[in-house]
Amino acid sequence: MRARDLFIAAFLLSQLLLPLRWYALRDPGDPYDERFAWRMFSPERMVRCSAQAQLNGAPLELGRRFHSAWLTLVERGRMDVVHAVVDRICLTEPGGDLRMRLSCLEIDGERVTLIEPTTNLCAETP
Amino acid sequence: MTAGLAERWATFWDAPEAEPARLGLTRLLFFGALALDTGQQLVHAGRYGAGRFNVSHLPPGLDALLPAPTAPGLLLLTLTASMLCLRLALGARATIALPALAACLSATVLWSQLDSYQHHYLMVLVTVALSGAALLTPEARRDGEIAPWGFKLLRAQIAVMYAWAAVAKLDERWISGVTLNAQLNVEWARALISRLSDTLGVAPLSVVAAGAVAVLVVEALFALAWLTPRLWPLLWPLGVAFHLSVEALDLKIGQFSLLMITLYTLVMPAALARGLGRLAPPVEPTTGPWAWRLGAAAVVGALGLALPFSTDLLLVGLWVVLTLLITGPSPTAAARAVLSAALVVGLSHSGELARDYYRFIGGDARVRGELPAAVAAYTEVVRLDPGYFSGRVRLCQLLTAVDRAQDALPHCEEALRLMPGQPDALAAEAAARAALR
Repeated sequence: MRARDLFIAAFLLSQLLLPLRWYALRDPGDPYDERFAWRMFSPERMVRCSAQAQLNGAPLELGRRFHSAWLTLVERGRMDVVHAVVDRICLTEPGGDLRMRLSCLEIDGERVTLIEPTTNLCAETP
Repeated sequence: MTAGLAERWATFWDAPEAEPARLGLTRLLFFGALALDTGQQLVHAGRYGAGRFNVSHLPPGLDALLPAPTAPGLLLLTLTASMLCLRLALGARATIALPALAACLSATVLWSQLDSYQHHYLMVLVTVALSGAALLTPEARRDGEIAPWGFKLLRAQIAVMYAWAAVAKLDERWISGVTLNAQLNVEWARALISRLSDTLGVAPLSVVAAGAVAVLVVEALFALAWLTPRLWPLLWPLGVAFHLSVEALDLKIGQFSLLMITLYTLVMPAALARGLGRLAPPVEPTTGPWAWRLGAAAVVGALGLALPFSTDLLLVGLWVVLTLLITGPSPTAAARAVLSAALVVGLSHSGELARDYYRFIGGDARVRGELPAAVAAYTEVVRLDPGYFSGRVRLCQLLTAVDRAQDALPHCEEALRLMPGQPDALAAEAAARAALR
């Protein structure tokens, strides 16, 4: 098989299979990450999440630590970003007690809570 | 059986394009539109690396291997991508220009989830596919062309995209109209839905649901039509109208519609493509005196120095090297190289683009308490726009906050000269004077 044919086959195969990740391998704890799945205008795109954080018992304003563009992704329930935000706070506050509630309002009015403030997230961070 | 399939595969991809004029026209319009889209991203480059925080599109394990992006790094990639788009639209040899563009776009998109626009991902795929067609066919490599199979691959990719888009809409929340309804905010669409609802005697949501189902069906048919040349005469007007309507409905999808409309030249009626294809510049020659290349590179380098950003010499060096590598040795090619760089520099100077790039960096740094970084950014803001009142006031406040009240005062005084008696400026000036006592 020529390099060209391999290239075409790999390209098309990746495009046929990559969106399948959203349908077949989606993490139930990360339901709104639609990257690479060609889901323009989807119901998940319309979800609105809000994150309330507390550090050592005091309210933590995420906007004072992260660029607003990252917080927009948190508001879309993008868990890769949420986990990275948590990791960053825990890294800069060793031994801290970080609690967060991340709840999302879906387009049909259903409210989904992705993170409950019951555990110290920093205790879970490696 | 396998041999038969292999033969059909080879015949399909090897067959010449039925209407070659389409390819030149697609190249001109698509890369022209992409230059515009890329240029518009300049203002967002300041987000990258803010607070040294980043999440890339790569899997978490690989993410840690990447260096954190920086605003100047993104600026370099975006400005270079914009310049390369214009060069490709104007006939630069694709062999190096196209893979270089694909590398710039891939880096800007995949480096950070800050860029999660689906059309930017599509643009990465388009440039990667076309790069393959520029590099993996000896004749194309020799002539600096994009082999026709690259455009066939694009058609297949677009068909796959429409098919997945239709699959995504096989969802009760889409079919019921709820999802589309939540995204329709333009007044004329609301009025039209209301009129139709009254005329038909049904609920407005039923009208939207009918529209939502129509979108699903249309996307599924488009997937089929992109792979069926006999349907292209019908596909082209319908597809262009579909994407124009997405734009008219203000469905918040960036430049997706514009870029898709330019890609629709791949299915444009042959007669129209032949007529418009004459506008597309031919690919630049391979042989000729090097002096044209050297002259173009020198002028492009000088233009790079005239960018409004505090860019380092790396960008200028990159532009010079790329110009030497991708410019055909002819006066026309040299002129096109200079024109492309001049357009990018001109765009960067236009409006408030460069000023806002620094203003956004400064605003974010201030909110996060990184005051020296905010001072540096606002210093650039007033350098670029000395008559910008808010920038003067903010710089005055920031300099006072970092114990540089002496430096702050001239900015407050200038602000008060611009807007005499303005309360914010008066307060900032008073704070600076108080800090000096």
